[in-house]
Amino acid sequence: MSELLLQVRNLHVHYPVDGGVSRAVDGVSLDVRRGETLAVVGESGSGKSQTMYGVLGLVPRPPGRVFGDGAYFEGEDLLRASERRLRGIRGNRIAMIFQDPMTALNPFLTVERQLTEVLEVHKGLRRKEARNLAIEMLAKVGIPDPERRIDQYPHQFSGGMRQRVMIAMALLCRPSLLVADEPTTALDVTIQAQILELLRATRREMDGSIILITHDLGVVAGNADRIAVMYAGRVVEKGPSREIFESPLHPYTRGLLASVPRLDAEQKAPLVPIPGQPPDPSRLPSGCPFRPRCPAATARCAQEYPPTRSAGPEREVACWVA
Amino acid sequence: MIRFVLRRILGIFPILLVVFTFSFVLMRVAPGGPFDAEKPVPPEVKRNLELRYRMREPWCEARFLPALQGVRSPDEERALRRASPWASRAERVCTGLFQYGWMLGNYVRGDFGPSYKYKDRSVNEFIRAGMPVTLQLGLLAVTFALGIGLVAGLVAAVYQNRWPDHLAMIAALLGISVPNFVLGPVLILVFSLGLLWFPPARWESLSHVFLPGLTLGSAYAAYVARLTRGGMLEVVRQDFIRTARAKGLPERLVILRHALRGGLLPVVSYLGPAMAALFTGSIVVERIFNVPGMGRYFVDAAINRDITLAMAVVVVNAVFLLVANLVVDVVLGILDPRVRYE
Repeated sequence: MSELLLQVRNLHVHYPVDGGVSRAVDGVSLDVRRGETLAVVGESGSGKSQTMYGVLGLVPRPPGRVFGDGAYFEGEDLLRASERRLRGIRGNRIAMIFQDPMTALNPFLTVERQLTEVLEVHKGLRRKEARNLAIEMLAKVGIPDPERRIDQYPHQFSGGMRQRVMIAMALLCRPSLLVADEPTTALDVTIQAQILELLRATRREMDGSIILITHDLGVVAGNADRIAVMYAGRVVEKGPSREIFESPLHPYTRGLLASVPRLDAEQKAPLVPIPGQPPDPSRLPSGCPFRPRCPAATARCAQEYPPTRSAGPEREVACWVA
Repeated sequence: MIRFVLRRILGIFPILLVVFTFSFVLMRVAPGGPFDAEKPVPPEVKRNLELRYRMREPWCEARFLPALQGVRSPDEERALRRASPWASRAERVCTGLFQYGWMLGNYVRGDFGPSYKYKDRSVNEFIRAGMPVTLQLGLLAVTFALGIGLVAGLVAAVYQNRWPDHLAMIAALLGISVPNFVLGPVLILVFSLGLLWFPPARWESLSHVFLPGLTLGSAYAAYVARLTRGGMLEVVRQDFIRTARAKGLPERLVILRHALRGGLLPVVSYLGPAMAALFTGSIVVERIFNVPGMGRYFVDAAINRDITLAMAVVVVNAVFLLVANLVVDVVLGILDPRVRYE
């Protein structure tokens, strides 16, 4: 088995709310191996992004609170690292790209400024050297005429081109882990395919790992080696993506798969939505948080949170009935 | 951008013509005239004054109300006018048009005309004497407003809801709510009479400028602080700030390079009208510190029906406001690349 690049153990991200605590992330454990793509899947508010913010020290503290048994990246526990140390890792060893490239790039600064500063801060390069590397990187992510376009502002780029700029920015320091937070959600379908292809090519080339955060199982298929399904701040099911697609164990995973339209399915197979809404993370129901929406719920589900148990060589699931 | 600036500068002139016309009509319509005094002057003197200052036009009198010609006492004139109100009105409008043309001609030549009240001085002399004083005072006030306001606002935003924020916002609330006529005397008491650091009044050296500048600028500093804080807090919530942090930038760069530009936009927009107001002087501050600036003319001229002086003050204010807004638009365009000059 290949070496672990990132090991998150029992991570919590809590925010105080009126008269209680909102458990955005409630005991998440994840592993990312070198060279693989891990997809973290779940509805909005399931804590997928917050997990990565927690690991990277991007949770605003106060009011947020981050704790856990550890988040080991290349052997170093990020939960106990100093802010200064984390800053040296962010954008350097672990880079992030975000959902909406319209708002994730600074509209007041040129692309050149936003790219070169990464190299200036992390590699101590001078502006001129950084600029040359940045132009190279823009060409690599498929931006035509980079010598000219690097001096433009984000609003002069199309949505897909902006996401390419984001990716170029993330890759400048050759990170060993790229966190792609809903990288295609804000883009047209044809552009989505291009960006996903670019991410695939990127992983091959940089020989690093990718965490693909998404709510779109269509994006996961064919792009991820393993999947972690999150619900209400916890990982409810984990496993190789082929197995999860073929034989989902957790009722939530099954619901997710049944609610995705498929071209290869029989015409009569109905699209089944999951009834109800995800719970408010400050008022979780007793027992299993999926219980109120679960078709297979039993009395036991209301009493105890189901422990995570092994279900096969590389599979884990947290459910009483699965 | 140069074309944009040139077009805006050309656009200033029609606006000024409207301002000029409107204030002229207001001054003429207001009851009373510049030569009405508690102790009436002899009718001959008054008539000559009015002729000299174009308040009376012989051609219009001959055309519409010939009975007015010659020397009349005010009571006689009033009776004559009451007897034929339409002719009287026509004569007034006619005279007004002549006066308007005369003043407009003067303005085109850069001459604001003679003062109606201070008969030995021209309005240009007043402005030449008062404007440098007002400009210095205004410049210092703007410096205070920006210096204090920006720093306080930034600190408040960075330490949101902690004690530096509360301190800055309490100070800003005081700055906005304490009026000039209270702050000025308090500053004099403390810094002139108490600590003997600054002179309490007059306008002689640089140290004389300090207290009036601070008094004038304090309310603006308070606004700038609140706008800076609000603008920064607005920007800091944006996605691109999260991106900047995810890039591993030190907090100093996140705030100063990534957040500050956007956070300053509301401050810059506010600075246009604020600078125009500061550069036209403040009657209160000038009275308290005995500063010979333009502010006092603002009120005096209007009360005295000193048409030329009042209009000059209004037009100069309008020029300041228009130029300040133009500068603001240019600066906004420099700060925000998405702004287009059309």
